[in-house]
Amino acid sequence: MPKGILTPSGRKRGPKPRKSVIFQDIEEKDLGFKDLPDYSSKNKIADISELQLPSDDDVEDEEPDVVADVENEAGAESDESDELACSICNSLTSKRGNQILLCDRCDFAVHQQCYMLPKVPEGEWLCQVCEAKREDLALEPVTALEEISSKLPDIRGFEHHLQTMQTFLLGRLTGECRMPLHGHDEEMEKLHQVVKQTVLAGEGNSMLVIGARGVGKTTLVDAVISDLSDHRDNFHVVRLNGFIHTDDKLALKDIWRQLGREMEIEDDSKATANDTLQSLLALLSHPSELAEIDEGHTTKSVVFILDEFDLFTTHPRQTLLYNLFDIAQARKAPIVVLGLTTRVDVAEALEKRVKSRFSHRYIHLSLPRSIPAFRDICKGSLTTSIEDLQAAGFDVELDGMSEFVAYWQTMIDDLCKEHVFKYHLETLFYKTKSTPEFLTSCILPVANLSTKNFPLKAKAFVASNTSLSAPDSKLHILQGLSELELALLISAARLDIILDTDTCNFAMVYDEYCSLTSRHKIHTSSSGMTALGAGVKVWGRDVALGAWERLADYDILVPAGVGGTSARDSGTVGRMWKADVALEEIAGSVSGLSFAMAKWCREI
Amino acid sequence: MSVNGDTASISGIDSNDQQAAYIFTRHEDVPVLPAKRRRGGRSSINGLHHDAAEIRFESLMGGIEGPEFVDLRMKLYRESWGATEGRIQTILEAANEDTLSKVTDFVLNTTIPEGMGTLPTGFIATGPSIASQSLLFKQIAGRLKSQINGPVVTLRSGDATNLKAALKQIIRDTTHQGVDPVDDDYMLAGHDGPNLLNYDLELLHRYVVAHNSERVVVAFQDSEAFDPVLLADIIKLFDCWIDRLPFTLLFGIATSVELFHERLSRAASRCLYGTQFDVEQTSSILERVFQVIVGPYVPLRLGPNLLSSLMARQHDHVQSIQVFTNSLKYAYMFHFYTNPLSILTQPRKKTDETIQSLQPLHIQTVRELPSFRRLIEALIGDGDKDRSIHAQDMLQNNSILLKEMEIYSCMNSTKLLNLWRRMCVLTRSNKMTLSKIELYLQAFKGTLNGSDTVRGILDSIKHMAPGDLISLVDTITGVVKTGDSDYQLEGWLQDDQEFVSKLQDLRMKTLKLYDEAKKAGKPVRSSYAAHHKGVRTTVIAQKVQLSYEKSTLSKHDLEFTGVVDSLTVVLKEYLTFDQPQTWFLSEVWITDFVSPSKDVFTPRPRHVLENSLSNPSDKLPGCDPSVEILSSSTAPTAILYNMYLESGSIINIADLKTSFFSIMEGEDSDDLDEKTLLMLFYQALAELKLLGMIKQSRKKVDHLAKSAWRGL
Amino acid sequence: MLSLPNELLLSTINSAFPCRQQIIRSLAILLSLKTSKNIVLYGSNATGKSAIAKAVLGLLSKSLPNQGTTLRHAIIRTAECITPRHLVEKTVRAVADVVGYKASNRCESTSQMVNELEKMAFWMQSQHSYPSSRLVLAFDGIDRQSMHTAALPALAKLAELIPGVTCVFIVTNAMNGFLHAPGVPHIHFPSYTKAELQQILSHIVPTPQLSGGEGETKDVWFRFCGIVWDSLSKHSSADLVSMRSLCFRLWPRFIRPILDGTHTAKEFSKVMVVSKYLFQDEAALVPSIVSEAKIPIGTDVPRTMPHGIASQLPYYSRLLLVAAYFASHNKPATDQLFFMKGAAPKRRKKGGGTAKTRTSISNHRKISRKLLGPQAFIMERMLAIFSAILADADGRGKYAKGRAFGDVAGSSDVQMAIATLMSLRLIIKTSNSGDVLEGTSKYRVAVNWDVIRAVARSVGVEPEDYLEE
Repeated sequence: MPKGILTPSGRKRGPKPRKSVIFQDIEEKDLGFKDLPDYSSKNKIADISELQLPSDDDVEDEEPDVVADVENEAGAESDESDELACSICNSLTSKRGNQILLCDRCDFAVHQQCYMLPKVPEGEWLCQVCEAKREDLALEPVTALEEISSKLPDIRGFEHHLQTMQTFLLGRLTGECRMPLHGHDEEMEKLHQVVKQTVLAGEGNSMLVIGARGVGKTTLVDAVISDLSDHRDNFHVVRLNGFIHTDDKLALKDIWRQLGREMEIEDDSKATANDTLQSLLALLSHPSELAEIDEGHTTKSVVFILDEFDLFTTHPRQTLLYNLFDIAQARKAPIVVLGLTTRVDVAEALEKRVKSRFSHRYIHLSLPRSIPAFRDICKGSLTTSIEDLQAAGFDVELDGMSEFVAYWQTMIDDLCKEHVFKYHLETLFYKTKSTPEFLTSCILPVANLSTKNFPLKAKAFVASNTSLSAPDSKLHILQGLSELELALLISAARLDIILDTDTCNFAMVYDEYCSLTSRHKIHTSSSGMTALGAGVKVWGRDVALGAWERLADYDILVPAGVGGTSARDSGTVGRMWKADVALEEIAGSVSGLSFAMAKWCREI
Repeated sequence: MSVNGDTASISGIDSNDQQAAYIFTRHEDVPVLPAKRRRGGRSSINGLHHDAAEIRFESLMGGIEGPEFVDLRMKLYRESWGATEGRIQTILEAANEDTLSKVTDFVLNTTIPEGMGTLPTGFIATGPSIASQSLLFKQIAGRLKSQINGPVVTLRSGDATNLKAALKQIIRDTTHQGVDPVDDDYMLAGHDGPNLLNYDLELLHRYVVAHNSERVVVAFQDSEAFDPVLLADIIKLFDCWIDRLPFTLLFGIATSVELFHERLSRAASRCLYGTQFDVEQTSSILERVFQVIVGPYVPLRLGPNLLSSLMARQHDHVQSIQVFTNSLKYAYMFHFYTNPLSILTQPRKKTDETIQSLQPLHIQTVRELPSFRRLIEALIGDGDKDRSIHAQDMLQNNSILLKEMEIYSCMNSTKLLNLWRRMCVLTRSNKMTLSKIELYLQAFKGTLNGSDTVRGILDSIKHMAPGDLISLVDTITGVVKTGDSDYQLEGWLQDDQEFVSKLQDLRMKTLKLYDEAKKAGKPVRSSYAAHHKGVRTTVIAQKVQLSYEKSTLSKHDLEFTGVVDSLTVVLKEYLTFDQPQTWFLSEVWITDFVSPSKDVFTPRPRHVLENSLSNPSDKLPGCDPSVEILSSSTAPTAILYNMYLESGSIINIADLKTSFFSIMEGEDSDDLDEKTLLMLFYQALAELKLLGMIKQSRKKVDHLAKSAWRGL
Repeated sequence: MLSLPNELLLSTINSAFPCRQQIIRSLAILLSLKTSKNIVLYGSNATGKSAIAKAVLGLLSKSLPNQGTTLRHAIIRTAECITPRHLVEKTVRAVADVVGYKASNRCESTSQMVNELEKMAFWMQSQHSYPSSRLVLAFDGIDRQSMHTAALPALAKLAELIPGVTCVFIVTNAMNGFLHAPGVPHIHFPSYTKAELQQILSHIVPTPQLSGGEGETKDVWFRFCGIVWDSLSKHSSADLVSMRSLCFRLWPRFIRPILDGTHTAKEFSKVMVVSKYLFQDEAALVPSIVSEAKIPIGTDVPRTMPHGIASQLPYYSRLLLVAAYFASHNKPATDQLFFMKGAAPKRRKKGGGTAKTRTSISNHRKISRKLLGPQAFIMERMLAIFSAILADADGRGKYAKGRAFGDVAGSSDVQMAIATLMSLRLIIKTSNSGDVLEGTSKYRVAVNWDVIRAVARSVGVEPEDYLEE
């Protein structure tokens, strides 16, 4: 039966937990969520109401134990009928026709209207998220992606087209072929100007492209380069990466190699860094010398692309940067130095002499600011046009291709209409705002498409067992820990709070563990729960030591600085450690935590 | 350390940036100090190159001793020590035999059950004497190399400071073990592509493949001295390779496997599947060595004091055969070097010849021997006429003395032999095994006569049943007939005829009684045995019991009691030991000087230093003990040291200097000007510093921190 | 054209690795996309990361060719690389072996590695007739050594720089963005649940078998595994490998009653009850590194008893060790109280031993000194304590009784004993500066209370009298 406001639910909830929950997520959410409430208060359109789902729902996912705990210790048994707030509009009013509904799985409370439910549904009702979860839980893992779909549009060569599309998209999703940039046109223009000046007018230039990871710096540069592809034969491109070329020597060698490969100069590996530099400088700064190296060439400009630019600033005396900038500035040769970095303050890292030679040109690439923008990008990444396909070298003349593309377009459109998909997008947006993450999450669903499993459904994205997203923290390890390890970890985390030194050694933790366990044992035995008490066993020091080492092995314990040389000698036992997870994190991230441990996490 | 201290202080001073102190010199030899040092160094260098021929003993007795005797002493020393050392070596090598075979067996065939770790590991528990480990592991390596097909590498904590170094070492040793190094080098150089890094176990793998070795044995000689973390890394690395490289690990454990396990990280110890091997402990080896060095036939023996001090050192300070051997060697050397009469420790004949060819001074020495004096006193003691005359002759007439010496020297050997035989009988007739060293000490201290051991045996006899009695007698006679290998004795039946015969007829009697009693069906027991059957509490009760026993004693019992008594008597008068040191000429073959070896082997540098600094008058002949220390006449270092003793934990240099000056200038400030004083002050300070007593304090500037405590 | 791995082939792997279908499938898909670059497999120990990766790669490199592309893979076990350079060389070498390319010059740096790999990749493309040939590098356990983590971003760039190269990173602990590359697909290997573990273990047929043949054995084994999990593994070490070894270790002792015939395999519960002790003692969890089957040496030789140092160390070494322990565990301030000459034993009775180290929980708590472990002390202090307890110790365990303390003090033997203790790491030098035996250099004792108590008793010192708390 539908859960009306008056029907008592299995789960009591008092005011406190709600508060604590809200408090929690304000703490945890990033800016993306912070600016949320006023946003939502401004105007209540549907998808903004959606916009709130993830937040609360995250809370539901993360904090149930805490909720339970807080209420237990508070012991406040409050009848639910008072102050059960809709988690969208936060209002408590629940009148007929606009009742507050409770999700039967996660007790997610919402108004009918806020959730756009015309009437109270019959039977069990689940919120969107649980719905999605329920569906993919219901599916048997293997057969998950093979249920026969009803409506295949009758397009000729459908399967072939589908494969074409998949291949093309997957290429894009895995980042092999760059997807078109959205909304960075003026930056693009700027960069294009600079490079063009160098290539055509022979100016020397230098520029920094700054932006977060995955925002498309490299894509931008590549796009510009490819735009100039018709002048390709009068400039060279030298790509350096701060991760790979860890010092100037290597960088120089590689520059030499790359130039050499392009202008057929024999690279002698025996040359020392210094004279490599000299000859390089000569080569660059007096282009006339190019003549005898290979005639036929007029002076060519060189485009230096320094990826991870900030790392180059760490090289001793920044020799390379100095020389490059010097050449670029002194117009000795037509070169342009493009620095790609994620650090906004990178210019501060430059030495004075280097800084003075750097033309302070910057391009800032920003992540999509709003959800719609983000959604458009994502959508764009899933859709394509005949031209793109053609450009990618697919045969678009096949009949039915155009129809298929169109069909695909529509399919993506109504995919984007699905709540679950939106929810998926928003989660990504709040977490990272990074497009690549989204692309990655698309790989499997797209790859799994086939004639048997056709229309791209949103639930394919949230199916937890196939998600390719990176873990948010090392907490995922906790799930796999044994009870003893957990207990030790909890004890360590407790010690951080109890005696406010954030370091602890094994002896202290084991002592804490023993006291905790024995007290619990006494408690259980006194309250006659001997059945439970059987589980409570103080493990010996050796066993605990093994567990302790595993914790250290998983980097959940990080060695603390103190101990110095003695740490080397005394191995795991003697040295001081620092628990890398906080006490409140533990309970949330382990499912099926025993009651006792949950208690330990809760109260000091 | 005192010596080191001096040289160090010299080096320290010219390395010290206090050269200024030496521009002005009071003693002209100061500037040439470095040169001196160099010379000293050179001499010490080529001191090593002395070959044995050049070394000669000093001629004793004020240089009058003839060179032939000097050489003889040296020759004797070489022979006797060589023999002893050889025997000790054989014992040491034999001692590990058992372990060796077991280890080899273990390495050759060990299979690891499921889920028990991957690396077969042998823990060789060599006691805490680290010195013995090197020998053991040399033997093991040698044995394994001969037995198994595969490389054997021994790692010492010194070689393996980090993982890289350890791997390098392993690979280097392995590849140099190859039967054909050239081929190996070629192969290891890697015919395909660039050659590998020299710490890449791939090299080892290639080697193993090329020689299809079955095992790769890596032995960690002093495993405790390794950094545990490093050990764990090595083990884990080996675990990665175990599918390609058949590793077997050996650890030398000086403390205990438990401690070792505790130090090792669990992750590493999970890889190990170990077996423990125990090496024969130092103490038991010592027993064996001891039996070698004091046989009845060895030329030289250690006196009780020396021996007990050596034993104490063994037990309390250092447990290592090597140390013991060294001190033993020193004792030999000392004896033959200092004792002119040591030439008499030769086989009988030679001794007689030597005795005939003695120099008068030798004879003089003999006459000064305490044992000689004792002999004379013994002769004169009882107012017997001709004995005293004999004594007089010995005192005056050399020839007679020489004859006597011959007699006594041969008598001594026989007496010694007897002593040994009795000790042997004592040991055998005793139920519990008693340490031979103890026995020896008692015998030489002369406390063995009527000692607890002897009495214990006699008492035990009293309570014996006939059967035990017979068996005891049998053992004794057996020993007398056949001899004992431990004591290197063969049977001496012909010498102790009557003793044996006595025993025999006692045995006959006992047997007879025994049989009769058996016929009578009533056990025979001596009255002593009868006494202690029941324990009666009160005196009265005991009296009653006593009388009762007496009355109930059968005649067999009485006879048996008689037999027991007589046996006791026989044994008692057989087991009499007289103290060897009292014998005439015992000094020749007993060395019993403790202090020299103490001074050599356990110096107490710190003690000496502190004493000599706190009151130099003991050491420096120049200054007289009457004047108090803090006066200009004493050595500056001493003055400074005494101030140091009086001052607190942190000393202000300026204050120190002023007080030092005030003392030096105290009464007679005639020739000492500022510069000299300053020089002396700095010199003294530098010396204190180099003795490790002061150092720059971190707490306060221009202060010194005391770093040495008094009297430790 | 898009070529997905066919389910038939995958099913073989699925059977080999139960409870992993979904993961295997995703991995196979990602690997068979010829455009995919970096893949991260993460999950805690013994969740089958390496094994599955190996299997899938092997399968693909066999099966892909008939789909018109060739895949070569090299698995680099980074645990075997002890320096970054070692890693570089090993990688190049491995690839060279796979591709069949003669690597000419050695590589010191990542950039050189990139060049080499590039060459090889091109060479491979030129070699093979297939339209596309790909190279998969799998770095196994790359996050285990701290020194390799520096190389990670560079390795992540490999795939971008060199066409046709895919890098697989097998890590335990995928910190967010540890590759410094966005949008890398991560595949999580969750640790097995009880049911899964039981299922996996049930594929093994343990030895010794029961008389009832394999079927019966498997049945008992299955239930046995369940019990092992509930009683031991769940609490102590919840991963597959340790549980498997644990089961193997316990199995023979568990089924002994069945083999002896006291019980039949049917009455499982009875057997359970009989061998209850197996599941209660934790000795099974910390297997001694010395196997039970010790080889006894001849009887006359004294065996090394547990903590044999108590009996084996020379007398003065033992005393020194005890002194070191005192010096490490007492505050220097309290030395006067404990070690001053003529300080009565009663005054020393204070706190009394280790009995009450259990500190009660309170919001502000002092860390008891014992828990903090041994502190550093200077040599002189230890020597002073040594002489103090030497004066107090009755001569138990000493060779010659009643020798004056004076002739031991500062004798070279004592210093040698200290040196020995140090080389045995019973005492550890903590200060790098200073000579070994210099008075002011710092040391720390490295043996625990039990050992010390045994040692102290053996030399007739009552350790509790001298310890605070």
